[in-house]
Amino acid sequence: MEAKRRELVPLALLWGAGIATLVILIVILAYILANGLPVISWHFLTGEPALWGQTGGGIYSTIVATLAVTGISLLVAAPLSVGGAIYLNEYTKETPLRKVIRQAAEILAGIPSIIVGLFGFLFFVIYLAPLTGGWSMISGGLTLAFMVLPISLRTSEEALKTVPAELREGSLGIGATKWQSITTVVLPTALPGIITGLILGVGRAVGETAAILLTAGGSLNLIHSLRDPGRPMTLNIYDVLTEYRDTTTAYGTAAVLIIAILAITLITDVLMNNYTKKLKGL
Amino acid sequence: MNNSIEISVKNLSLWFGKFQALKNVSIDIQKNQVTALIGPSGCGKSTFIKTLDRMNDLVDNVKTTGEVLYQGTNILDSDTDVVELRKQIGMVFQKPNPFPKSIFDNVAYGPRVHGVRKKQNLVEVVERSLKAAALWEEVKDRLNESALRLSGGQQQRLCIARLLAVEPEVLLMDEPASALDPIATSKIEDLIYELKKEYTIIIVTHNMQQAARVATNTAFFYLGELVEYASTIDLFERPRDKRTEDYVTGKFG
Amino acid sequence: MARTRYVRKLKELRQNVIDMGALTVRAVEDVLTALEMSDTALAERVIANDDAINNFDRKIEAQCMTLLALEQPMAKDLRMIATSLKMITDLERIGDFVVDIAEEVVTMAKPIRIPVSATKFNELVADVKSMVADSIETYATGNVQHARSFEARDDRIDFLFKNIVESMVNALAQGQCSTETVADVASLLFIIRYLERIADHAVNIGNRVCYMEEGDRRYLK
Repeated sequence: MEAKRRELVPLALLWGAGIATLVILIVILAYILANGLPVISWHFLTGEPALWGQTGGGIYSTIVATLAVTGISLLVAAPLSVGGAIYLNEYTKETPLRKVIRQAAEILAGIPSIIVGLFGFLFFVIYLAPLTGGWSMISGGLTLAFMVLPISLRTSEEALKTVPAELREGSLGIGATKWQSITTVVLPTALPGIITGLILGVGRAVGETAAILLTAGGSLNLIHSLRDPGRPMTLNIYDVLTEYRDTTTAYGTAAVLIIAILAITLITDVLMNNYTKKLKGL
Repeated sequence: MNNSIEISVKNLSLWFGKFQALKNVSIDIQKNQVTALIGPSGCGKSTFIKTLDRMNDLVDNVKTTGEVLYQGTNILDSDTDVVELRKQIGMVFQKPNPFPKSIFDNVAYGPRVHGVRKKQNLVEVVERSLKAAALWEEVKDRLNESALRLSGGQQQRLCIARLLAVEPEVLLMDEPASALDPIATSKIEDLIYELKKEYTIIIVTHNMQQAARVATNTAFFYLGELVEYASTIDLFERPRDKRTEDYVTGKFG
Repeated sequence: MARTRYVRKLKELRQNVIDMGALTVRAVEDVLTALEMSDTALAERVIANDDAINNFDRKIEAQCMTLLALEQPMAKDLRMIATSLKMITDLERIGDFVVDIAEEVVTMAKPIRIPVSATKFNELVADVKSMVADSIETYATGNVQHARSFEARDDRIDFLFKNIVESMVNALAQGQCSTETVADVASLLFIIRYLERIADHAVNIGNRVCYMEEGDRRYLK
């Protein structure tokens, strides 16, 4: 009886800690959605932003810009991180080089986004201006790729590691080449982990503001090509708040962003769960 | 033992870093017979069998000396086509390792990676291999189900079918039944007995009675050495070496 | 050393076989003493003691079957158990022949008069007695060299046997025997036949010991 009672205190504290996390999330979501949901309408989503200083516009161009930079970052980061993970995990042995590469990825992940943005500014916006168009979606996307890369490299590697050695041995044991084994056995098994990792990276890209600030340009015009400057949603929240104190648009944009991220996360979860179940034959 | 020889091993030694796992092993494996490798844990029998299909290449820091002659060439040469070798000498592992695919795709995997594309050919190969592995009757109506839904014994037979689908000459089995219950084990042993008509089989087992039941010849490994190699009945009825006698009578410490 | 209980069981088995052997040797010696002394009381005791030998036979057989079923014996252990299983049959048969001889002694019930050389007869008796004792000894010690000599000794016994039979048959044919003596001769012929058979079983034991020690199946005929 005494033991049971002594258990109660730590149990309550831990429960409290867990609940606290949930509560914080709910509070943030509730606050944003409460203020932002009313703002969302068909017009809001598809209309052009209001002209300078006026309210009541839509955020269509910002949605497009977000899709553009995120798409580019994914397009660049996915093959690099998955390919890199495959190379590291399947083709190399545990040598110092491998450890160095991993360490480099960790360090890259820890660099503050404003500094990555600064690099992006100097390299993509200024130096490679003829190629990227200066302030542009390409510059923004490429810079974001640098932020996505270390995360998805790490998670892809972990996913590959969870594939049991016996599967590779079984494949090699009947005369498949290493590459055949990777594409037909290892990758399909590791796919859920890899995809989840990429989505995590995408989440980071979608929510990135500092790096975008320095590379994407901030223009409210709808982009016609990827070399045009644009204003993704995160940047939009910052801009409308600081320049016009337009809290309405800010809340609306925030709500759209949050709903989008929630949706992507949940859908990915469900899809990957189903995939894994099918793989296991359950 | 004057049957023709499938694999001839001469003075094979192997090191994992500084540790010598195999010490100057020489043995001739007979064609179309079952040869069992027995010995206590860590004696080198698994390492030996993995050398025969170059699976030790997957491990870091391995050095080998000596020769393993198969079809006229030393398979330890660096210019050996390892992929082709593993098609001829295939391995079944202790823990069944079916791919997370359908039963059909598991068996068709081998032929597919070796270039067979036509559906009809694949269907024939899959049926033939599953029949040879004594699994056809049990799965013929559910070839598209995931292989992971099969029982342990069925999964192991599936792994054997997967191997047979690439038409090897030699089957290496590393404790194929140790993860299975007695009935499943019997089925595997019966299968091995049938398979030896077409294939040369080398089986590693820590179960002496299993070696006694299925093998024509048995080799006793101890501390990396091949201590004794004889017909199974000779090895178990009248071993020559005291170490063998002590092992088979269970008197090892 | 592993399997201590198993090793102990093997030792028990071996000792039981040796003990059964000792009983058998004793029985052979006793019956031959009874024959020499015409001691029908001793002969009766010998007949009664055969039960002990038969009990041993059953007991040891059960022991062997248990070991085979439960312990998966191999190599020398397996050969020892197989040898023991067959050997107790030989011992039991020797015991039966001893009883047969004892019954003849009881039937004759008086000192025998043999119309042949006593020397040859005594030699036969001595040879058989020592063969039986030696066969148990080789089992106990594993002395294969000694066991290998049994074939030759058996040849000698067979020779003596044939020789004595011939002499007795001649004596009968030439009418050298009185009516009483004829009955004795008949008994004696049986007795030496039993002795010759006892020797054959002792040789079997010797061969099985060779198989047990060396594993060569040629010893199993």
